[in-house]
Amino acid sequence: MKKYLISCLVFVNFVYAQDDLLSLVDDRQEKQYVFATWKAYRLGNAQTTETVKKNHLEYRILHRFGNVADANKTLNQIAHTAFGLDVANDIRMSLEYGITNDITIALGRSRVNELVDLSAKWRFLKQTTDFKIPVSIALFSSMGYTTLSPDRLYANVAVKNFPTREAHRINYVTQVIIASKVNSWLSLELLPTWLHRNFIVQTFNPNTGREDGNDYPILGIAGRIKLSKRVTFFADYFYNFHPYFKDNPNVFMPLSVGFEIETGGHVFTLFFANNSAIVENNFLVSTTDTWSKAQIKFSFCISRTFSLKKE
Amino acid sequence: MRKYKLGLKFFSLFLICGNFLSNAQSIYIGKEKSTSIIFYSDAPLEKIEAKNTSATPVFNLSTGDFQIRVQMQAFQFKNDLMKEHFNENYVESDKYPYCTFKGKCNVTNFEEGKEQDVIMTGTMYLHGVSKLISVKGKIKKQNNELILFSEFFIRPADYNIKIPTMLTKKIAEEIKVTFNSILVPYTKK
Repeated sequence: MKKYLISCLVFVNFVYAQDDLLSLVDDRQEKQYVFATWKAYRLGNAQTTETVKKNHLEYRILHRFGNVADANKTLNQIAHTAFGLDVANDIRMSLEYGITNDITIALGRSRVNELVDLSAKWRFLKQTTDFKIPVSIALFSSMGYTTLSPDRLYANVAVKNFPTREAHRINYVTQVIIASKVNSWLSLELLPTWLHRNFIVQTFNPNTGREDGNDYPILGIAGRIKLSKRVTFFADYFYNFHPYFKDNPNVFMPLSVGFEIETGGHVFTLFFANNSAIVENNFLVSTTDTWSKAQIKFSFCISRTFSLKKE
Repeated sequence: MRKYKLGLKFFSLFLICGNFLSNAQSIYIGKEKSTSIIFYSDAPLEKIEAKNTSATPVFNLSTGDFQIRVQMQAFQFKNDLMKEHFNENYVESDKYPYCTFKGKCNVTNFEEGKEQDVIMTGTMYLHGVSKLISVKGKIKKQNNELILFSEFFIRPADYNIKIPTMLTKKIAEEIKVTFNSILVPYTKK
């Protein structure tokens, strides 16, 4: 009885002392997911864990100019290309569509290798604000199909009457993207990647004699720093573990460094990179220029998102 | 000792009754899913509208206290990228997840079936900035429910929400807020 009375009193006092009416409302959310880990679907070369929102369509135009400088060429030669601005190393247009908030499918077409690529990104784990889940993880998979004419596709094949097959045109990229928004201005990610090409014209590393192969294990690393609310600075790098790449004077690891600027519905990406090709299926193995010889190219990307959501 | 106990009993009974009559009966709380807050930005290049239906206002008729807490991430936009930018760059909802208003209403007696003009005066807390505001609205009592309506303007600049110069043609300087809600007497769950 005594207990009952006391609890009554406590309850009464509680209600009386209630200046904060909002304690009657239970609207606190338990789990809060981190959002805006990255500004866009891609940084310079690396994919991000960002997806296109459900029923939204994104249109991206990427352009890669020519070398801004080149240690193998004279200044005059470079100046005649307006420091690379006259050259279109690669152009890519793509459409990305959000099936759900975490699954995006994309179709793109690049100039290099006349490659049409169909890809999907699925973010299956989302970071929470309390760091109980410290990372977001997405799976990215892409299939590339080159529409090159047979003469060009088999251009370097020495074998006579080489049997041609449709499967030779296809290559695959599979990537796990592990990202963390460390704090409001720093985001980092790791991208273990597997590239498979159905068909290669075999070459050798002139220094070590190692052959190249159909399969490449690659690790990407990327990060961004927010300079202001709408401007970020980022860098990404891909390291190829295949022995063919070790001490090879002909192929290099792609590195890109640049800025993202967000203006309402648009995100502009402006960056420099040593790789000529834009899409993973190409640049992960075909980068023949290097930062150490100043063979860097200016590149930009414009993206616009349209909502196809019904009211 | 016995006397004291008895006194305590009466006292608590009195408190409970008093409380029941004066407080519990006079507290009104938002009916489930009946509250909507819509903001509308009308700028030359872009019209932006967002709707929030997750908030629950509480109104104490015996004191005139009116309070509401609005979760910023619950505003829904037509374009979800806008929603992301709204949360990331404008209201910074990772730092300031809620907007609250705590004020007093100048009218506390409502006649059944009659709509009354009211003014609520109090503090709006948004994006880390507290500001004293006065908002005009209408309240109608019907079947022991209070139907609230209000339309007012807020200036993002007042709450330290900066709009970059290049976007001034896309985001209005004054944002129209439309508030609708139905309140029912509070019962403890």
